[in-house]
Amino acid sequence: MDIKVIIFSTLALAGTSGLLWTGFTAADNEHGAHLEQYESEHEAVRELMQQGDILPLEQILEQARQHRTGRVLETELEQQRGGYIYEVEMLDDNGEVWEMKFDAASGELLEQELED
Amino acid sequence: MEQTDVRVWDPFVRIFHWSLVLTFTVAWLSGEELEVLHAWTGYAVFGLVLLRVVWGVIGTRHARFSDFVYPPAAVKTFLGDTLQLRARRYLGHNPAGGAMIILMLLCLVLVSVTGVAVYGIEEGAGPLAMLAGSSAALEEVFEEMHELFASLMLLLIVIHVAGVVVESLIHRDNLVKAMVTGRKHA
Repeated sequence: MDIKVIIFSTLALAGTSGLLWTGFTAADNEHGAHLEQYESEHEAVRELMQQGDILPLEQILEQARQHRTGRVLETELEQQRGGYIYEVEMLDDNGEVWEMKFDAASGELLEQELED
Repeated sequence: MEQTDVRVWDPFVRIFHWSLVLTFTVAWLSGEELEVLHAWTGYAVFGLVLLRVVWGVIGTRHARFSDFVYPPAAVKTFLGDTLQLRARRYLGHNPAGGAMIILMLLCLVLVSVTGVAVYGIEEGAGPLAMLAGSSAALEEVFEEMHELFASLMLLLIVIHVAGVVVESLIHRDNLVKAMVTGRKHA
């Protein structure tokens, strides 16, 4: 077989499997990263709150209600940009679902967008 | 009757094709939730596309752009013939298939570049990390474009698969099998 074919085939195979492996490992690590050191998610949240890294969820929900009226569907705490953000999903009175992102430390509204 | 097979697709073309199917699928599925996995599979997609473009110049006969890029008029004629079920058979890519490859490669480059831009702005990570701190409006633009090109890619894939089915039926080829074994009947 042509040497070019061998080189390109090897690059494609090695590159694909290497990047897939890296991706799955990184995703797995990130998922458990900050939770691993704590006994439970519950404890992690409490500790982060004590350290002042995040505000209590109730405070964020209060903020959210000042921007829109409606029903809260889902809340999520996410690690991003070296800090934490709260994602709040709200069903407003017009039947539209909004996703709002808050800086978890300051409570500042970072962005809001209509879900499709 | 004994049929003779001919080699059409070299190993790289086949590995490229199925690796792209796999990495694009994982990237598509991880898009909303698993950012890290999405980024790495995105790099894999882009890397594969780059290799394929180089291979389109230096590769084996039917892998070369010069073998399957036809003028738009030829593509139109071929599609017209296909509708009347009288399109001629090509051993390599037919004119419509060739045009589809170009469209998909272009679309994937655009998905990759806009994706890397979003990653750079939003996370301050990846090759365009220096874009971190850009305005939210700019991020929004790249994000919309990324989603638009990704959706367009999905549409192209649907048409590509439909084309493969139609072509397989008209010429009694099993083109999916050919992309695995690399061989077609003569």
